[in-house]
Amino acid sequence: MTNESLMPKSETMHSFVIRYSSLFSHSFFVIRHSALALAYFLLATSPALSHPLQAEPINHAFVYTFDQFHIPEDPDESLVNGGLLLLAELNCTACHAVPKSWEERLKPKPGPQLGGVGSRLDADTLWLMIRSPQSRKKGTQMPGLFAGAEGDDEKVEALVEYLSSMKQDVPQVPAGDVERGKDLYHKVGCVACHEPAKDARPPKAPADAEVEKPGNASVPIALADAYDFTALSHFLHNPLSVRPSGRMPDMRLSAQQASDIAAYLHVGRVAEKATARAALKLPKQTIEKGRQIFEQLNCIACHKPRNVVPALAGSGSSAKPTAPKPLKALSQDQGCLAEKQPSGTPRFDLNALEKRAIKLALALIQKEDAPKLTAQEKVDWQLTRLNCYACHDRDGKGSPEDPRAQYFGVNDPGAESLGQLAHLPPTLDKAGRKLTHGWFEKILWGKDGSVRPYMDTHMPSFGRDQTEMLITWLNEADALEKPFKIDVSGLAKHHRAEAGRQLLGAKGLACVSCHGMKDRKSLGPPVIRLTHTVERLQPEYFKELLLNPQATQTGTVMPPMFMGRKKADQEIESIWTYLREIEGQPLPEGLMSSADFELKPDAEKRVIIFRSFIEGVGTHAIGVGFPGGLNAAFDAKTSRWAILWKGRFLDAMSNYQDRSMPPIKPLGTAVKPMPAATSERIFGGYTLGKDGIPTFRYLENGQQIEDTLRPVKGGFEHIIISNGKETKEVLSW
Amino acid sequence: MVKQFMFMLLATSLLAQDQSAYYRTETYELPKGVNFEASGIAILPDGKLAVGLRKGEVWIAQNPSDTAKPDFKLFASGLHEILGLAWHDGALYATQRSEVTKLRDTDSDGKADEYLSASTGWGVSGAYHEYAYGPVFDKEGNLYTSLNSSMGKAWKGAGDEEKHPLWRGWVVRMTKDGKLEPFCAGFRSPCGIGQNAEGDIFITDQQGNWMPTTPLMHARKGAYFSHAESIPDAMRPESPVKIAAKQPDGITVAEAMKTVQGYTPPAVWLPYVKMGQSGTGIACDLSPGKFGPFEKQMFLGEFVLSGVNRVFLEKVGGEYQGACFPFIDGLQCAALALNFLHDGSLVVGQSNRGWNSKGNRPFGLQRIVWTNKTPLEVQKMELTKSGFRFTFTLPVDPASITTLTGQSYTYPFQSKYGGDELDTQPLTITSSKLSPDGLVLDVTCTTLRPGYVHEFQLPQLKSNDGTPLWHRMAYYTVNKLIAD
Repeated sequence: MTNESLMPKSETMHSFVIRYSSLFSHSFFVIRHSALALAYFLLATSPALSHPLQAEPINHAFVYTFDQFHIPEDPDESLVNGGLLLLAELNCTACHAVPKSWEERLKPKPGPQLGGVGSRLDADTLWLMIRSPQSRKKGTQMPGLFAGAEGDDEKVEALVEYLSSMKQDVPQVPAGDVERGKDLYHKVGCVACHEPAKDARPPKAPADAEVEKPGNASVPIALADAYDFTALSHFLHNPLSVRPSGRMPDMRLSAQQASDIAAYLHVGRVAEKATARAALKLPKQTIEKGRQIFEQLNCIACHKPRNVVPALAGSGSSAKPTAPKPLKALSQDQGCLAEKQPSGTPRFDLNALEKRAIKLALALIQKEDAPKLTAQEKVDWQLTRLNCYACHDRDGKGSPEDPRAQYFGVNDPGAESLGQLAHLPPTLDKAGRKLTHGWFEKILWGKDGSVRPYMDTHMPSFGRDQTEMLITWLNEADALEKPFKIDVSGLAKHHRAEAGRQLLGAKGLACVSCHGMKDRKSLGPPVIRLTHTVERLQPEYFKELLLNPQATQTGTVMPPMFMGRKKADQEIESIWTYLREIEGQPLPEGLMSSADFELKPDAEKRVIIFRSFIEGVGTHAIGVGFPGGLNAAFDAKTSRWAILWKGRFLDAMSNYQDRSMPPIKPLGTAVKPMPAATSERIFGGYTLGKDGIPTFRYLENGQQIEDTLRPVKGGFEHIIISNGKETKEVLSW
Repeated sequence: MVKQFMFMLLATSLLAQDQSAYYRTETYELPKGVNFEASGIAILPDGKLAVGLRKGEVWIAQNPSDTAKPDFKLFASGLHEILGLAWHDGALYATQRSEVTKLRDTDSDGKADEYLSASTGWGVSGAYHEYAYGPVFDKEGNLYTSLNSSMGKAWKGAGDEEKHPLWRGWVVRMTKDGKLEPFCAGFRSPCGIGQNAEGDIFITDQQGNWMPTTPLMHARKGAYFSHAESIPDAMRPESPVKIAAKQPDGITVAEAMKTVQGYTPPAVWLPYVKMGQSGTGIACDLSPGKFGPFEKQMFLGEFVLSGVNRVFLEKVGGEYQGACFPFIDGLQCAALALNFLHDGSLVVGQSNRGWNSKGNRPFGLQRIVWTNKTPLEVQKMELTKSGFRFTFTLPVDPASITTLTGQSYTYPFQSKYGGDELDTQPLTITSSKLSPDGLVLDVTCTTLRPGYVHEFQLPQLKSNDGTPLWHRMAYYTVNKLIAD
């Protein structure tokens, strides 16, 4: 893809829109806008004008899960839930007071943080967005507040001044790469909610097949145009800092990845100029006036003032906003719900279905208290609000539709054989009894929670505030009446880690055929490594899964290894103990490499001394490995060199890891036994020279002897010092 | 949800508060990539901390009081399963399978360049359980090592010792003139060897054949402590242990004390499960009050329960006996080696290799630091003519004293593995009297039985300021009664 192949989004189109709107008289605002929306629709569908990500335009306040789960054919009793969703997601309840019983359910979400907004958006963009959000940002959930009444132009200008004054230092970002960005955009999961590009083919799509387009509407990417590159890269790197609601979640991109995607989204971008703004020729408005209007209009209801410039000292109390009506007092056919919205009320551009849904919801709220939700209903409600369903399914609801799912790839060809399990994010069935609290934290807002490195898609972070409650709800919703019983005390005799290691190993149940561990790949497909099992899984679930994988995790390819095993309970517990102590344990057979504990004088470039039970020497053996491939072992019992050998030295596994410390063998070749000592000797120990070479000491017939081997050409030089007299011989073999 | 979270927070803090209010457990940051199975701990004269690892290395922490940045440096390597480390007279001594090795850094480059043989000569057959522990030094400079009895399959490569490894199940000592002497016998797995404030040597052993539960034994020349596999070596002419070639199997400890020639009972029994399952390292608090109100008392590692127990000893009829109390639990894994830093904190080396423990880590190093808050605890428990005298660390509120209950039991003297509490009877407690200062509680008990553990459950006592009694259980082993 080249820049030339893309027509920039028409500047003329936008300026046309604005110029047009500014000519109209105030009373026709609504009608005019509808007409313009139509005009925009016609223009935007022209393929020559759009970025490849340009979806079908959205002309209503867009809530993804509402559009996904509701259609005009919905009966009232189903659509009413959609209405409740809209009241919460469109933040109606940030201004309209909610009856007590409905509060938890209809809790508004935090709107974008405006701290630093003046550094992210230029004044013209701010003006366009405030003046007419629906025109500047299709599908926006921000209501339009300016219908063109007397003084509106000045107010908008003052707000622009005020918001522009909120600057924030923006640190540098790396340069982005469009091609990489395009690749990332399609594979890390953006397309679960946003539109796949017309010119991007899913990895597995046959070359001649037509790529199916998503059936559900995509979330527009209008924000990308408004931000300059640096601001956009920052936003993609850390969206929650600007948009704490997590509706655009943090995709856990690196700074480079964020810049790459930003570069891709900016292909063909032309910064918009609000020519109409200049045409107004308004006198400069003050920041303070803007601040007052910000308060008056209750912008604070959504844009929490954490980073907003506080009132200037001594500026007097600013006008308080008029209190909006509580939900209970709202009429169902006025304001934004009216067929033709009257001027002077916040404009959301609700479509007919949305209006119907909200009316139903209002009627319900006005009639009765909120029903008490079960834990599962609460889980479903929050998953719907956050749109977890875009990627996950739970109890049959959700997961990406095929036209989107086809972009979810794997980066490890070995995982292909796992099919959908490798490509798609996991089901959330039973998640509440599966994962530990600590692991939920890592996944939902923390770090290092990913255990499926073969999957391209990232699990995003939604922020702690939006997800912490889910953990308790999930725990409750998924709890078994009779949880599986597992003894994880570590106290039973079979709780020895070694027993678990044997079972996991290639000669046991061969779990290592599919599961890797630590830095080791499995012997087969790269399914989840078991390294973090104990931190990650609840022990009761671990047992439930192992006893009957298919019933516990629908669709799993894990075989029922414990079917019919009499000691399944104990075996599962011993595996748990091993996994619990995995940090210092040897790996199971199959994953262990023969080189794991090998002592390598060459690699370490030093003489290595190692005492153990060594074959050919005995129980008091002291191995000495020299760089260069010569080795020897001294017997401290008879005080003599017992064997010499060439090549590899010794395997330290026995000393380092084994409970029973079995005798070890020289690893190399040409093992040469040395003659027995001819006299009684008393071992004294050894000292190390500066070169690390040991000199052994012993008494022979009351005489102090020093005995050293040094590698020389052709073998060892054997140096013996006795009574000040040195004798040397070369040992070749 | 918030409520539930608060409850959890409260519950855990309550549990933790008991212990951490008085003693804080700090976990050492360890060298990356090293299986730090800390099995020997020595303190250098300059206060540095030397740690021996089972894989055969010795590391020295330059700043042992800073667990986050202890700055460990490798000092020695290539040794064969270190299970004990000591500092003595200018050198470190590491006990390996077949030798105690004297380690010195003669060129001051921070690494040992002298690995001299300080003690050797006991039998090593290659069987897996032939552990060697220690050393400790007596005032004359003799070096003591405790040797596990041989278990498991011997190795052909061991030569003659495949048939019979010498002095297994013994404590041996290397004299200053280089002679290895058998010292005392009858041990099974004498994992702890240490000294009390007077320099007397004590041994802990572990439950198994001839060991019904963990004992703490006073090692003296010629003493014999019940494990029959060391009997054949006692028949050797150089043996200081004089016992019969065969001992009865299946009597009680109380009976054995009367009938088995040469049998020395442990100074203290640590009842099975109640006080843990496998006693390990020994450390005596010699700091003047830096570790709280238990000066000169001994602290014993506990493998399976991943904790530390406390022992008070007194001499009755010329012999040590006394009581044990729970102290600290919840360590990372099996406590193996213990020693006190100069700052008065207790370092505990840990390793799960070969057995399992309650802790969930394979190895680790922690230290236990007194918070300067004194717990209400039984400081001493002494035998009196008519019962027991409990001395407390803080004055006890007389109103909090209600009924004391207790029982006494003995153990089997048998070749069978382990052993239940036997002949259990409730204690007849006829009176209890608190001293006017609230520190001493005299309890009259009409059923004192030599050879029996006397187990007390104290009431939920409170100090004058409302501090509740930290540990309510106390176990006194009566071997001798106070003579008139």
